[in-house]
Amino acid sequence: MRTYLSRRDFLRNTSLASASLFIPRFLRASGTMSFADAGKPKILVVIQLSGGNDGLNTVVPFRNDIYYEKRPVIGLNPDELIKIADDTGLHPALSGLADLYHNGDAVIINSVGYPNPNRSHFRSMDIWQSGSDPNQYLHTGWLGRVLDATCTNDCVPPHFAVEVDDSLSLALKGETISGFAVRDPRTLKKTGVNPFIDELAEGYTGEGDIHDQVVYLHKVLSDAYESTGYLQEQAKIYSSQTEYPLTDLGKQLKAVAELIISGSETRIYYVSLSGFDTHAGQRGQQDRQLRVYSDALRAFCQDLKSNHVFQDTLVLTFSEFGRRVEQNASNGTDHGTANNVFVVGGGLRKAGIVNELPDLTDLDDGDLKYQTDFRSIYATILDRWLMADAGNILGGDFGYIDFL
Amino acid sequence: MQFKDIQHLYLRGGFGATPSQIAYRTGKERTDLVEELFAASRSYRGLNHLEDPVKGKKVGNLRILFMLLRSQDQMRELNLEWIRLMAGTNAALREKMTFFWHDHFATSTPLAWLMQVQNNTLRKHALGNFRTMLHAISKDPAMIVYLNNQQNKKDHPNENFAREVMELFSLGIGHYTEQDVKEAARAFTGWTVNKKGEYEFDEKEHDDGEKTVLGRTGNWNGNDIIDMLLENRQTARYVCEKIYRFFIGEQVDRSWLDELSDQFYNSNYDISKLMRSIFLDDRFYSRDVQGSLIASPVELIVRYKRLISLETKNDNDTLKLQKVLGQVLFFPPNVAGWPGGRNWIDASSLRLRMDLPRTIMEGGEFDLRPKPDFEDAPIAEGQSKTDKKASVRSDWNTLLRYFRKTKREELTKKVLDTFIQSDYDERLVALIDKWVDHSSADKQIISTCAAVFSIPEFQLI
Repeated sequence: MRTYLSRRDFLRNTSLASASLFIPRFLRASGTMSFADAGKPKILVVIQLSGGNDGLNTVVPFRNDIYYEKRPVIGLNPDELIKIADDTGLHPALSGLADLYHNGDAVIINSVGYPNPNRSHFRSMDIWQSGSDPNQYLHTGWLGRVLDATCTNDCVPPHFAVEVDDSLSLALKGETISGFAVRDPRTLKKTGVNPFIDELAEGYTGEGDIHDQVVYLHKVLSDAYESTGYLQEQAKIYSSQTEYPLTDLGKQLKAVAELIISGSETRIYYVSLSGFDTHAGQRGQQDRQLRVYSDALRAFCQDLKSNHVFQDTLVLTFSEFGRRVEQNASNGTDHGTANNVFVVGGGLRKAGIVNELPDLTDLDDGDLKYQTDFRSIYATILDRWLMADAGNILGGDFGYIDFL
Repeated sequence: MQFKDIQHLYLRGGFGATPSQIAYRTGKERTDLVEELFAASRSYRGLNHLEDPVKGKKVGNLRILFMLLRSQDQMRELNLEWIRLMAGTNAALREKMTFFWHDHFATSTPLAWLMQVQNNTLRKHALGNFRTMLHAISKDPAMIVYLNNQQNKKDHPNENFAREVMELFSLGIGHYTEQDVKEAARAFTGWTVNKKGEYEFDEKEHDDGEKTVLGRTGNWNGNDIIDMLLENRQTARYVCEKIYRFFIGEQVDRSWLDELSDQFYNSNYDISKLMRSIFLDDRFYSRDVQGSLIASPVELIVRYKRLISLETKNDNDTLKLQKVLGQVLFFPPNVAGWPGGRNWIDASSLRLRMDLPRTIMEGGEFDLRPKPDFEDAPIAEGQSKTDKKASVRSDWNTLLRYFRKTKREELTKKVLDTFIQSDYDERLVALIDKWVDHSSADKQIISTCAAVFSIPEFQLI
């Protein structure tokens, strides 16, 4: 191991950067992006529950005998549930979500899925994130294509879609422009670890005798530089006064709230919570994870409400699949199919439970049959919230749901 | 051949070479160097870390077999063994081809032993005959399991394998109908895996009735279907286009592709012949082709291993690095493989690629937090210290020895010309100079190399 340059030397050297050439694009050019500047900005926050959350123990059909027959050990008793309808109870850890529901700020959609369900985490997540047909392989995400759609003139910068993480999910990857992954906007360092590159990136015009790929990489670089600078500045504007749980999800949603409240031009945020692959000993594990989810969501929505931006924010929660109806021999559940989806926000046109509980008498080899195509939820959000062209982005008409 | 052309040959037909290895060969004839590349791949070794876990055991059924074979730890070991092999082998072309076929026949199942078997099958045929390979991979246990062909039975056909063999492995989308998929699936019924984890033909599950596939009617079995696919020129064209995009460039010269496809078809799918013709062609060395591909994460990591013996102190961190950069060997995103090209690059991944050389140079730590695996149990709160920072090691001696001969005032230009295959802006020389540590000759060499490794142009091979 050799160390010739200390970190401090490195930073000192790199600080020789010419006076910042960082000029935010929104000052340079006024884009003509439809979703980006239509009236009061609407914001989408996606919470991904990874691993396949057991939907039947999340939204529980507690009057259904089959539920208790199939789940003698892990079935939740009616008296521990939070009742939200005659036949429907929420998992006891979901008090935050239940409060939002009772306040008319939550939508529950049952039996969401797609035809020929795939029980592989990877493939099913791929399908949900890309918004593809089950037998189609797309290398762009449904939200990445929202960014692409702005590129008729000049694309929006990457920070229009922010994932609070170190790496970017397929959902936010576009063909021409992708979103921006950042773990913590507050501690974001300048992209300019090598300022000569920033300098050069600014100098590239893309004209002359230069390889396309070189121009392309420099373009991504200058976009990254710009978005880093933007988010770094934005994150300084507002520091949340709301108390969030000290969980990773709590911290992520706090960072999102701070950006929203500060008026960041970001329109799409993406966060994930993993740990839902409950093949064994499901009770304890799912309890913990749902509590992490619901408590962070509660704080987040309170924060947005007290800052008057809740009506402009929509939170979509999904998981790549639900789990089998019958519990397994390890008091867990195996990979299944259709699942419930939650939409939360202050700007809902119609809140509440959208459709019936899953029909446990009509199963497909022990699995739920889907009733709602997940792309109809995407289409509703795209057309009626993000003001994007759903037909174009999803490559078809999947109908709408009237929560918006 | 000139330095840059030789480097091009080694970057595309392998995972790069050190400047001294290239310099040693400058001035030699192209035919000789191409021949040397093929000769070096004649003898080789495969992955041999894992032992057959079924050997000597009685396995009751497939469910138990799969439980026995399933191992995330062994998947990690396989991954690391392959990375080491790519970095260390002389049979670099064979490894590069195996890497290509690993993407073409993308399979992702945690049944580690079966993945080792598949990887060795791909390596065996990597420079051989595509016809033999397509037949072999269609009977490959990992492929059968991944695409559910063990569930493809006379009374309940499962179309998964039949679809993908047409869509992704041979003809490409648009050159067959849904009806062809349905009928071909019937021909593959009974192609299954036995309790030893080997291919087996289960005659009683096979549908031996009449099928019409691609316009021809008969009592076809799976072998007949594969032969029909190979008889179709579109297969040669589809495979050649993939090879073109992987080895030559994403801007396809249609007339060259036509030549290659015809040649591939007329040679009855001789892979070596095809690759040799590419590497000998003037067009392969043109300015538009050189430096036009974005190195994949694995190519980048292996290039660093070859140049400066990059290691992570903890083996698992090499996996983490693959993960955050977006490509983990043995874990393609789906059966279509890695999208590649510009899909490797987004603002975050490019930034990481550019930050890496500094960390390596300092022998420091990088703080990588890849997304958790789907199967991971949740991390209890307050315990998120599992994200320990990754320490890296490297050895710059080879490069030091090579560049000490260069005059210090000419070093920056020399390093750029040594490593950058694409065009670069001449202003870079002054910019890098401004940044380099000139306090000693060796510090200057290392910091110049690190600077050059961190510019976007270095991502292009």
